[in-house]
Amino acid sequence: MAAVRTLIVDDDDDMRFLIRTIIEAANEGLSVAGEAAHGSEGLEAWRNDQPDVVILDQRMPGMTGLELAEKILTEAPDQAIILFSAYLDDTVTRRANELGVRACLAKDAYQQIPEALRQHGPDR
Amino acid sequence: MSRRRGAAAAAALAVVLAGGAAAGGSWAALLEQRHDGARSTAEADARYLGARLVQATAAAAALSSVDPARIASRISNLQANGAKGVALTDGDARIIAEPIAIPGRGADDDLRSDPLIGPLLARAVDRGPQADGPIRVAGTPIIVAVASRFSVPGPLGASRRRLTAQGFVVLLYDVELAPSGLPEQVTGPSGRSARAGQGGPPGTLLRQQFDVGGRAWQVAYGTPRRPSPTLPLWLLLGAAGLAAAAAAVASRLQGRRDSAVAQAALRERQLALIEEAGAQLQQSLDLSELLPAVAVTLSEDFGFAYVDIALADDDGRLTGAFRLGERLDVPPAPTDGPVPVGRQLLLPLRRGWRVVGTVTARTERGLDTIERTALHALCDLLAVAVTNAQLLQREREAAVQLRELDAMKNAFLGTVSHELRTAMTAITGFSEVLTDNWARFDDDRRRDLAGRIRRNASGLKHLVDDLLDFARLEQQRVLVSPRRVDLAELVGQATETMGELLGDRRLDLRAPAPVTAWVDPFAVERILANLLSNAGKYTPIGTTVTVTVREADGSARMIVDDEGPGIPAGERKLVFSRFYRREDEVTLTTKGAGIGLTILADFVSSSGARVEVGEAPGGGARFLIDFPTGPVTETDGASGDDLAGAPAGGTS
Repeated sequence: MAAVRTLIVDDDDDMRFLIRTIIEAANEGLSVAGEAAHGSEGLEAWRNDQPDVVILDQRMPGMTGLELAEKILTEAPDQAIILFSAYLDDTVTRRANELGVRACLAKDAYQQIPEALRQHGPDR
Repeated sequence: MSRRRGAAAAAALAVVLAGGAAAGGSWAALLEQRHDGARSTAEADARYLGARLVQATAAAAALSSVDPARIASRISNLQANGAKGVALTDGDARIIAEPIAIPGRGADDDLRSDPLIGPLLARAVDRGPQADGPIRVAGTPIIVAVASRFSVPGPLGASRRRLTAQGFVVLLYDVELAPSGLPEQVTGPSGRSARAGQGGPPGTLLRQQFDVGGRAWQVAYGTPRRPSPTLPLWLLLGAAGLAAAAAAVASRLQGRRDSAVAQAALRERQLALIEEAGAQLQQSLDLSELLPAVAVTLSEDFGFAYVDIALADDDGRLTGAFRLGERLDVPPAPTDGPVPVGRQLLLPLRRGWRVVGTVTARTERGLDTIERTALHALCDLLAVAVTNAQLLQREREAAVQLRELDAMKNAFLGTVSHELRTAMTAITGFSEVLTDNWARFDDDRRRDLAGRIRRNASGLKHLVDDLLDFARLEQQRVLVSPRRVDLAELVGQATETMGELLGDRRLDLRAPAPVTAWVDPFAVERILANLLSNAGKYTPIGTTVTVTVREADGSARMIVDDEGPGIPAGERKLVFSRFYRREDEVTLTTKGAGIGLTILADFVSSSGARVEVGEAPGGGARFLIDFPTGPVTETDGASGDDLAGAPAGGTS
């Protein structure tokens, strides 16, 4: 299995740390390529780090997760993106599907992160 | 059309009544009574027609004198007021121009054959040779036929009801314009003149003069010939005594009937004036539409050259106004009775005991008593309409405020649920990671994760406390049970358990000596927790937050200074508003539901303390709170409202 490099974009320091810890604990070829605390930082990190998967929070100050997803997918339509948010309603999930976001995970479903990364990583 | 012709226009209208004089003699007194009845009817009609004439002349002058823009504006005004058609005709009722097509007419139709307009035109044109013969005036008669959906008062609108039922009525302006020269001198066949209202010898031509636009306009009308007071020969013969008595009774009845008819005509006219303008008042509840429409109607129906409607609220502040025409400094009208030409009327708009506004109007043609009464009645209707419109406006504003508050609450709920779920996720997530990987992680890693769990639990507790306080605050003011405490000691103890709120920031406590305060320790803790939580959100990591407790100005003072960006002076009052969050970069990257300082302000207020937002020595934010040092009564506890806008509960 090829390594899956992940970029984490979340405004909450603890959430980034939790995702990183879960990814690193799962090991098995999963690694963290980088972290960003808001949308514009995330866009820059995505261009620099060239991750396999981007994990995005939806509710962030400035640019929302879906707005960032749209920018990324405009530049790279094949980029795997997972929306990981406490704020998932019908409007958000529908918009995510339209944009081509691969999966939407509620925040309390953090245990599913490694599985989702393997599913949507380069070897899927 | 030339300006010269318009400027020189003169008008005259003859209303000559064929009196009952030919009926022959009876008792002199009865005949005299009958004569007076007929004359008062004639005079009332003439006064009315005179008033309409002046209006009509002004309208026609506006149309004929020249200025095409003015004609267009006049016509569009009529259209705006619901005119269904406007036609200009010559004296034979043939259409000269038809700026707004009259519905149901062909272009070449003779208006006289129109079932609606025809009969009225016939009355207007065919004044016919009456007892004293027609009065001739040089020039071209012009008739302006206006089909309007509003009713028209008075004799010319006699067919008003029938026409109104069909959707519009016909307004006829019956005017003759002299092509040149000075205003025509109007004289009757008798060659004598009499003052209007006083009557004159039988058969004389009464004349009434009106001033419009600085020119004099005259209306001439005839009075019935006074019958001979002598007893006729056939009565003296005695043979027909019974017939004579019958004639006398008939004559008396006729006199009463004439008088009643005159009264009814006056009443009808008054009602018609009210009805016409009243219809306007029911058309809109929007003040911005209502005021101009009413001003135009008043100016047209009462011949006002200037109308100013001003509305005021209960405190006398101007809340709405509309003005038509040019304001001139003219003498006021007498308080009752007829209004002389060129005077200014000030009419209050009353709603019960309240004056909701005023109407100021200047008349160019004078108003008779009937018109004045109608005008007062109209002002009462206007006051009702204005009050209704204002109520609606207030309702709309309240609805907008509620929508805004609703949007803020939704945003607040979104933020809170996000914060709650994030903190819960962190707590359960870190606990799971810790237990699942206990053996793999070294001590430092375990300690770090445990610290994160503790910090999130503490944040969660703070958020839940805030929500509970806020829910209480929504219901009523928070209750405090103050007692005498040492504020320095209390703050010292409280800060020991509040380190988590500051994150990686240092706390510098400066409370060297005991400070007596009259407070509820719980309120002080909530105030302090909110201030530290605020500092923990808005200041850079690694900076210091300083808490100072000391006695100052007879109060127990607590100051919290931070080394963050500070709060701009203009926003220092806003920070206590519910759901308020600044829209700068720091705030956007910071957690918070925007209720912490609202809660703080409420605790401050309930404690009889005051809060002041200022600048800390390093440029950061300073919150200064003065607690009372002894029991306070409801009234003398400064609530901090003047300084901080607290409590913020006023908008719910």
